[in-house]
Amino acid sequence: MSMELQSLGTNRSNGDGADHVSASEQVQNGSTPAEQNPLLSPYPENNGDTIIQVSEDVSTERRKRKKKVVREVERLTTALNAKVFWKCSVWMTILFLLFFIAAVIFISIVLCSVFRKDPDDTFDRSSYQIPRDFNGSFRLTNQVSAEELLTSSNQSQVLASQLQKKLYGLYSDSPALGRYFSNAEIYDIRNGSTEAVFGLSFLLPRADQERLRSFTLSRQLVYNVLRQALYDQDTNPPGALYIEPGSLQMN
Amino acid sequence: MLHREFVCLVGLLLLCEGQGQGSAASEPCDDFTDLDLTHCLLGTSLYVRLLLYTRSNPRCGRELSHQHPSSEPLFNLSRPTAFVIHGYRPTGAAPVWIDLLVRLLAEQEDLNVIVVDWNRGAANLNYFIAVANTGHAAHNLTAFIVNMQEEGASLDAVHLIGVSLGAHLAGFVGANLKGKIGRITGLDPAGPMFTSATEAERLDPSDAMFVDVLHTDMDSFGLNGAHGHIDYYANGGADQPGCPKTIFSGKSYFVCDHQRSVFLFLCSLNRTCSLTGYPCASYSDFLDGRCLQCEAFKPAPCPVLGYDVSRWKDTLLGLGQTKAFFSTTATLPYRKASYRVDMVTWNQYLRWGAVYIRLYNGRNFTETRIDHKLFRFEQYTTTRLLAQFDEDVHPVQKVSMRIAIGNVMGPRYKIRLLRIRLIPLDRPERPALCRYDIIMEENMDVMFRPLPCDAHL
Repeated sequence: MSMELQSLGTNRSNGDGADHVSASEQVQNGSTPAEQNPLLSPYPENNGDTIIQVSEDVSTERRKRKKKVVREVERLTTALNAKVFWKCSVWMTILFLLFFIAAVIFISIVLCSVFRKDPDDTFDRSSYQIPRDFNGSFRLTNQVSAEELLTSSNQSQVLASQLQKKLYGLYSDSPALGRYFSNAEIYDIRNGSTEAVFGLSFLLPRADQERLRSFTLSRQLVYNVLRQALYDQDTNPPGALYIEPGSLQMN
Repeated sequence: MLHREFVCLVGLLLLCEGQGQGSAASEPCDDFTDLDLTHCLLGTSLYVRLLLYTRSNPRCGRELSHQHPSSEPLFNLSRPTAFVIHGYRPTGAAPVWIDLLVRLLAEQEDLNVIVVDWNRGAANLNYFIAVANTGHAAHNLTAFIVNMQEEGASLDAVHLIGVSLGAHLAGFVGANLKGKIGRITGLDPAGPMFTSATEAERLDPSDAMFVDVLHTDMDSFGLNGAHGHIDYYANGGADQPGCPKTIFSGKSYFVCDHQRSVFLFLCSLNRTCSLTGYPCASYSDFLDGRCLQCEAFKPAPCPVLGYDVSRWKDTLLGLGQTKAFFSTTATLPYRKASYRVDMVTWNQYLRWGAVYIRLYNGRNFTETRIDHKLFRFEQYTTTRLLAQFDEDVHPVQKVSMRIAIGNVMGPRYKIRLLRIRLIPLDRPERPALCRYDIIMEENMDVMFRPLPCDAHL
């Protein structure tokens, strides 16, 4: 109580904050007058007292709480250190479980992306039965003259099989058309081995046939897959099998 | 709001560093009134001078008499007349673009180019006084045009080109003359003090028989909205590429976006850039490639920014008001090389992705990232994009493309394309480029040689 009085007196003499005034009045109603204390007592000391006094109540409460927390922690540590089996304590088990869950998630993601079956890569070729054919022609620019060809029909056969292989390879490697492609044929080599007539056959599934016909297996795509391969040909120098891109006809 | 006012004030002070331009001719020329910062600080009272430039005197102005325009022998009233009206002059200096604009206008056709020099009136630190002066200046100019008409000129052949505040001034003149003027071109009409103005208080389509407006700075000194028969919005009409984003760049932070409208117009007069505006509801729709066809204007192409509007005028008048969008680069010639990109996938399941495209011509390449949103790739459906490149790489020998789906984890998806087609926009003479049957793995560059698209289909 005396501490309180002392401090409030100082407060007053220093003309400190207004909130202290009401408090000091209460004290004056008590007993000892504030004037008893030396007016010139060093300010910080008294002021410091006030703080200590105020914090004392709080600190006891804090200490109590701290004790409680410490007790809780102790309880928890003993619980965590309890042996589950052999040398494994509870905290080890919890940590292991967490790690295990993370590992399962991670592994399943990796496995999913590695072993994912792309629905666009899965198909059953045996169900493709509806035929769709295209015919066309193109011109070879680097072939031998007509007279030479007449002498050996053998040569034209070799040429036909080379071209057929080229067409077959091209369409069966096509990402969009490969699965529907069934055969490529060179029907004829005309005009003294400068013009080749060919046929392409595809097989379509029964399902979704209409859209396939108008998009994937449209004349536009089948024609342009060949056309772009012709544009990609090596022109410098053009090989013997060089086909003139502009000469391609198809329907 | 306070902050903004402060920024404006600082901007004005910085603007005051501008330099005047003098003309060095042997005979006395009537040049644009050159004022300095002192005049700005003290304020100027309105005094309108009309300086005539023609093909015979493209660099040496002749001041015209307000009462008797035809007393000047070089002023031929049977020729069309273009008025160049400047805006607010916080520095008092002559606008940097005025000489070039006059000369380029005279090159377009045999014109009387009249510079409306109201520098005394527009030069004032207090912007509000300049705004108040526009009305008086408009009355002055209206009286002059009426005199011209009385002396035999036709209102149809009058074209007012107004910059910033000058655009509204032109609008007032047009309104005073009941909208019978041939054309008003507004170059980024001023925004401050006009944002909530009614049609009578600002430039609007009823002010002339044809009103075209270019917007470049709608978010600060320019006016938001549509105010002409056609409104062009460069890069959406707000922020321009190459303009500083922070105040640390000094003067250009304030004037760059706003002044870009004049430079774009000059560039179009100069034929160094041809900027096609695509009519569209919004800039984002335009960027999404939704407005790349100009059916309404057929057989003419989409409207092109510039002096000659004869090919689109009638259609535009029929349409009422049209908003047209285009993108530019940061520097001359401003034009971007644009392509419409159409892709068709045969993937069974829907995918979304951003697209990156590079064009190579053997020596260099140019790249665009179309990643402002994810585009939809749906089976047998055309995905349309607008690809705008900073450089015009031509002829295109190789194209490299990448699709980013944005998956952090999980499988790498593939986008299987039946066809990709790149159609050069505003270059009808160039062939469309195609490639067929390609697989694009997510985040992987695919390089291909395009071929001219099939002409028969």
